[in-house]
Amino acid sequence: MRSGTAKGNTEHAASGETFVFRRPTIGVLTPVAALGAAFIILLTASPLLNLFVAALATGSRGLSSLLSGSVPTLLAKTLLLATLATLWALLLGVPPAWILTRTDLPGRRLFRVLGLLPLAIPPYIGALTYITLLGPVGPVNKAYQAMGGSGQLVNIYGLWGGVLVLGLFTYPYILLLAGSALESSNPAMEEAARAAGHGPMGIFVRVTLPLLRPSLLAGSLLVFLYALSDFAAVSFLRVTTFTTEIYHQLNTRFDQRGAAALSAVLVLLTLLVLVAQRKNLGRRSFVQRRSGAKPPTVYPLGRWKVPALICTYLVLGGSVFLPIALLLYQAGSAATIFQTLASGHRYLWNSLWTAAVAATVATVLALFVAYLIDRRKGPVGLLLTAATQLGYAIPGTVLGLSLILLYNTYVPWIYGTAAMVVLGYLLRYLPQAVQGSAAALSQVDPNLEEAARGLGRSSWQALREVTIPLIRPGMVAGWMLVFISSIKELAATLLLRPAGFDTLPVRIWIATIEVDFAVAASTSLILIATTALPLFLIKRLDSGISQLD
Amino acid sequence: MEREEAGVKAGRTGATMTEVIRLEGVSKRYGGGGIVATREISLVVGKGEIVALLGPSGCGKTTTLRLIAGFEAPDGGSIEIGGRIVANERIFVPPERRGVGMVFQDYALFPHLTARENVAFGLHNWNAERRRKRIEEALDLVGLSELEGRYPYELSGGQQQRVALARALAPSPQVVLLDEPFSNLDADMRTQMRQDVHRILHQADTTAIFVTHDQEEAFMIADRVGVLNQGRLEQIDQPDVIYHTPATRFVARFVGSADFIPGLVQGEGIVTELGTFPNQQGLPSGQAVEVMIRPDDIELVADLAGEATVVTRHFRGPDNLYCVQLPSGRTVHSSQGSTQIVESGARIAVKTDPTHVVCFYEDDTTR
Repeated sequence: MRSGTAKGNTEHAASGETFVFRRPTIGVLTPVAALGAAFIILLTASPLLNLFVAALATGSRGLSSLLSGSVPTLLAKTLLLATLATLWALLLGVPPAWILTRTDLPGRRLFRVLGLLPLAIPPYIGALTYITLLGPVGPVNKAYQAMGGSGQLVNIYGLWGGVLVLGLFTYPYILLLAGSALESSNPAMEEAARAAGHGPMGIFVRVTLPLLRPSLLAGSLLVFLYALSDFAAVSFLRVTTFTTEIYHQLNTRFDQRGAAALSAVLVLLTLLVLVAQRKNLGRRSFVQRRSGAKPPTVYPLGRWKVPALICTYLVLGGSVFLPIALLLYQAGSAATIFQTLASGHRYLWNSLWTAAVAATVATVLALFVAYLIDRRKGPVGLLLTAATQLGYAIPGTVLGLSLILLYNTYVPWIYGTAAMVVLGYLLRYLPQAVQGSAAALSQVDPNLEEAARGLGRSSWQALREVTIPLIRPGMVAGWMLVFISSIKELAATLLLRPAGFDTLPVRIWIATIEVDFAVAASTSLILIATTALPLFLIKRLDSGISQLD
Repeated sequence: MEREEAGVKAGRTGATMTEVIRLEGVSKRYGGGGIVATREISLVVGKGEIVALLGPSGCGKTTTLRLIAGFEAPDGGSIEIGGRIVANERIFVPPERRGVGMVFQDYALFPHLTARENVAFGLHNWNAERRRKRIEEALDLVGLSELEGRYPYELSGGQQQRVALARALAPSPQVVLLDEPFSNLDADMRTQMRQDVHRILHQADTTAIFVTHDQEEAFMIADRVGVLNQGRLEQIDQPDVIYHTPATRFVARFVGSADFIPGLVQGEGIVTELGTFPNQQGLPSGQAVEVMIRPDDIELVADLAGEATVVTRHFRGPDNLYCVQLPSGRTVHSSQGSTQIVESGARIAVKTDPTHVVCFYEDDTTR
């Protein structure tokens, strides 16, 4: 699109002739693009920069007391939780990924769709269901006591409960990534191992698993970062982590600076993880190309069919069937759900419109960013990439806090409106939209735009008539991802919402605090239903994208 | 020079040839000026003419095409299309206003549009009736009327190329530019498509410039062939002229194979190890030269008393390529009929009778 730049910098001659004056700015950003890039970088980076400034303003004494006091234990606890949850998610995700892609398990197609469902169930809802089941007055402990046991058989509160729930509701990331890698892997590699005398087990350990490493790493990273950033589930399960401590500092001790200092530590930690991952992947970024010629080997299960089925049912049962059954039980009847919906329709509406606006703005910005990054390599692209990826590194609590600090000071007229909520969703989930657009755009040959230029279209017309129609599935998928993530977001909403502006997650939070489990459960069911629909649409789109290829 | 004369011959309409493309001293550098893509290329293409730009990869041929299309802006020189300046130091007309059709190496068909919609893409400003007629004409020309409803992925490589060609031709551009148009096709398909494209371009009476690294392809399709080397246009002429009287050593080597043997000008003749050749260029006596010898200029005669020895023989189907060692130890190549077999090690006599004597001397070697 070099020539597009040329056009942007030229003017029509006064005579009306179709020639234009050329300035030697080929390959440099047009003013509009530069302005847009600057705006996006300012928008995404300013809250974080301001946060660090606020953290440093705590003064060295306050900072050092904070760092020597609670931070080391907090750090250890949070890291332990995230690590264990990641291992648990790997354990839950890898076997079904293999079973569902590489064996002749009956009904594996249906299972793969169902395996996505936990993504529609926010971990805090999962936490609620497991508290119901395994809590001090839950059926499990009651039965234990009825049988003559004293005290509790299981204690859901604390680290192990957190690990259990976080792993159970994040393993689909691993299932998805490992599953698609397994599906597109080249069977020749496994055949080569077989020819070299390895059995199925040897092949899995020596060939399949090492080749899966990039996707497992990527999936683990998502789980790990999620565990670091989770606020609601760990609060329900009474696990103390960075996010709960930040919330505590802010909402009960009203210590914005202390919260800022803690947030800064958490952001640094997340950035560290991201950088380490980048490095690791950079060295070993072997991606298996989809050969298309031959599908991967499918192993007949034989007498392993029953164990494989049990394994799949256990994972799905723990993460889908059981929670939904418990929610339905708690909600009581369909009437309760409808009643909740009728009396709380404005919460649903609040959730829907904030998420939809955030998703739409994110998609538009993402198109611009993806286009700039893909078509114009250079420092601006790199800076933009980094700036738009920041959302990944900022947990909802931290984002809420940094937006409060920034906008309360500089743009107070936005502060206290629902626009803050939308802004929070936008900044936090912009990376998902960028990824959707960028992935789609990288599939579109720049030649296509040139062909359109040669056939009489301006660069803008070429974008509109050729590029956008081609990347539309990716853009729509990005939109839905942002929508789903936004509609589930609790921590940022809690901090950023104007008084009385409740969304579905906020209602769940309030109902849980008020121990109104029937309302919490029926609101949860409504939330799950609103997120499940777009989730399945994405899955459909996904196959649409690969067809277009 | 000979070339001037050939240039006139090349214009199919002789002196009345209308210019469609004129490049004057066009230069282009990349990477902050470090990499030179084209050096002062000058080139005139007449109406209805098909010109091939031939050269190894990285010689600047694709850049030249992109400069004409307007996807790149030159750093120096000027480009005219149909008598209108489209690029110089002051002016840059964007590609959409140049009236140039382009066929890309990978065809760049719009995957979301059918063959017909692809062809119609460039006709957005035409009224419906004219557009419909033109689409039909263009599809007819490439013989794809029946497949107009298919999407690109439902078409074979050759069919995709025809659609690309029809799409480029549909708006009746002043010139069609083809970038390595046959490189993505299978070998058997390629020969067929070369003939088809040649026919289609002539039938449409289109001016065309195409880029290739394949000498055979250039010779088959083009009225004139321009050979590029390191961004410089070394020679542009009719295929036979390029082959028989290459202007530089590079052209001699790149277009067919060639051996160079030393010789000395003595009056009317040039004396070499292979005999005396006529001094056609009128070089001064005493001038040391190198004479270009093509494999088909050398005949081998079975002669047990011959002074040359056969070193190797490669059977190539239609002919045998011999490598022959001369008494001086120098080797030359000779192609002989496929049935004429002389085993390696055999003694033979070498006869040479080049129709054109091409020689290079010191002044030339810098070129």
